[in-house]
Amino acid sequence: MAYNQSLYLFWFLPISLIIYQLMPKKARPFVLLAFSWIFFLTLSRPVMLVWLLAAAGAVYSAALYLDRLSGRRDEILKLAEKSEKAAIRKRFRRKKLIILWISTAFLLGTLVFFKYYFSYALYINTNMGGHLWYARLGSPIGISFYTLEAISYTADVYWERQKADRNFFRVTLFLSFFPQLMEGPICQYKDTAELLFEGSPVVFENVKKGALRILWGLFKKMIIADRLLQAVDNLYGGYTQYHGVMFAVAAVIYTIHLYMDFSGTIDIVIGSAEMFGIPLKENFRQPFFAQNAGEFWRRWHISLGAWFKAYLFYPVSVSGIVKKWNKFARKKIGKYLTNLGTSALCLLPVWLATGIWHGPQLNYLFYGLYYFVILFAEVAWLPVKNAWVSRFHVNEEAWSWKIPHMLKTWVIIFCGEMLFNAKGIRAAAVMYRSIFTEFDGAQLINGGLLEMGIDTADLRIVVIAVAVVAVVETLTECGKNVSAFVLEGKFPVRFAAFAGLALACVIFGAYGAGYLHADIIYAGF
Amino acid sequence: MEELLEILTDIDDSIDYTRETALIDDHLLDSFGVITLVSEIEENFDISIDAAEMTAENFNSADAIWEMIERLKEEQ
Repeated sequence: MAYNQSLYLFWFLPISLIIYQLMPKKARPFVLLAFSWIFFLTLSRPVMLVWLLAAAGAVYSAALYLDRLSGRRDEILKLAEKSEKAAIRKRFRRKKLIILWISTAFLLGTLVFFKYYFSYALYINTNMGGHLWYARLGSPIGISFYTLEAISYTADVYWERQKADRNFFRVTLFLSFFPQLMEGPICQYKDTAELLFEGSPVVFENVKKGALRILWGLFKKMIIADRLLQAVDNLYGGYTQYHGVMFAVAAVIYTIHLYMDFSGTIDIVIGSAEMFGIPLKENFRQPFFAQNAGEFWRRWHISLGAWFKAYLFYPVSVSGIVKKWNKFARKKIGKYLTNLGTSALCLLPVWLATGIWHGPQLNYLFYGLYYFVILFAEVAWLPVKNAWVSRFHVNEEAWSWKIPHMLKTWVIIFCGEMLFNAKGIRAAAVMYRSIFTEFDGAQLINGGLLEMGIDTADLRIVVIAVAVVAVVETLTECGKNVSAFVLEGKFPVRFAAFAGLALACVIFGAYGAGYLHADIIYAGF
Repeated sequence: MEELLEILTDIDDSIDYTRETALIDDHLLDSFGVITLVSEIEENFDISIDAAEMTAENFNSADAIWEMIERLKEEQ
C-alpha cells in the first residue's frame, strides 16, 4: 500500500480516522500504533516488524540507561569537591558515550546490513567469483528513515536535550507512525512523540486542512510526476537512443519528476498527519528559489539536511581532529585557509553520508561528492562575493540579483539530479559529454521532444500543471499563505479549490491504460 | 562580554549583537560562522565546547553565548 493509492486514500486513512475518533482517549495512541503496524505489514514481511521493534527496544533501553547515568553523575557531583568535578564529568561522559555508540552501532549495522550488504555481496559474487552469503531478504520498510529518527532520539538523550521516555509504546509509535513511515519527514522526538500519544480527538478543521494538502500532493504527483515517468524511463533507461540537448532535457525532466513525486507524496503525508492533529515539519520550502547550493539544501529534503547538520556536521565540527586543525592552522596559515580546511573536514563526512544514505549505487556516492565540491567552492568563493556586494553596493534582495543566482543554482540542481538518476557512472558520463559534443539543438523544435515516449497533449498538460505549481510556490515564497486563503475563504473559493484539484486529478491524472504504474520514489531509499 | 562581542563582530560586523536574539533561528550566523565562533571562544576563554552545547538556545544571542561561556568556565 502506498500513499498515492486508492486503497490508502479511500479506505485505510478514513477508516483509521474513524476508529481513532470512536475509541476512548487512552486507546487512541494504540489505534495509531495498530494501523501503523498494519501499514508496515502491507509493505514488508512480518519478520521485518521484529527489526523495527528491535530498533525501538534498543533506543528505549539505551535512553533510559543514559538518563540513569546522568542522574547518578549529578548525585555524585553534589557531594564532590570542586577539584574532582571535572574528572567525574569526564568519567560519566565516557560511560554514556559507550552506550550511545553501542545503540548507534546496532542501528547503523542493521541499516547497513539490509541496505548495502546484499548489493555488495552480489557484486563480489558476480564480478569477483566470491561466495558471500546472498539471499533476497527484502528489508523493513522505512528503515532508512526510522533509523535516523532512532539515532536522533538517543543522541538527544545523551546530550540531555531530551528526557528518556519510560513509555515503550510511545517510542515505537514515534518511529512507526504510518504517514511518516515510507518517506519521512525525519522528525525529532520533541516534535511529535508527545502529540502522537495524546489521543486528541479528530477535529473537522484539521481534516479539511489535511484533505486540501493531500489533494495538492495528488495534483503534483498524478498529473506531473506520473505523467513524466515514461519519459524518464526512456531517457535514462534507454539513454543510448538519445544524444545532445536531449540529455539537458532529461536533466530538467527528471528534476521536475522527482520534485513533484517527492514533494507531492510529502504533501499527502503531511496532510494525513494533519488530519490526526499532528503537524509535521515542512520538508520542502520552494527549493527552486534557492540562490546557491547551500540554500538549496536548506529548502530541499529539509529534514534530512537538518538531521545531518545536528547529528553529524556539528559533532564533527567540535571533534578533536577539527579542533586540532583549527588551533594549528590559525597561527600558521591564517583565518581564511583555516576556515577552508575546517569546512572541508566538516562537509566531507556529511556529503559522503548523504550520498550513501540514498543507496549502495555508485552514482549516489558521486552525487554526495558533487555537492561536497560545490558547497566547498561556495564557502571558498564567499569572501569574493561579499567584496563584490560591498564594492558595488549590490542590493541582494533585488530580483536582478536573485534571478541570475536562481538560474545558476538550477543548472547545479539539474546536473546533480541527472547524475543521481543515471544508470551508473559510465552512463552519466556519456550523457553529460553528449550534451556538449553532440548538441543538436534543433531537436527541441523538430519533434525531438516527442521521442521521449510522451505525446503533445501530455507535454501541454505538464507545462500547464507545472505553471500552476510555480504560481502557488511563488505566492508562498512571497509570504502568502495559500492554504489559509482557501480554507478561510468563502464557499465558492473553497469549492473551486477542492473540486478543481480533485477533478484535475481524476481527468488529468496519469493512471490507467497507457500509463506506467508509478511507485513513490523516496520509499525506495 | 566585551571580548565576546569583539569576536562576534570580527566574524560578521553587519549584525547588531546587542539586539539580535535569533542568530541561529533566523540564519544570521551560518554553520561556518558558528564553527569559527566556537574555535575563537575556546581559544580566548580557555574552555572546551563539545557537541552537547551545539544548540540554537546556546547561540541565538550574545547573552546566551555568554551564559554558556560562564557555565563552562565554572565546570571546567
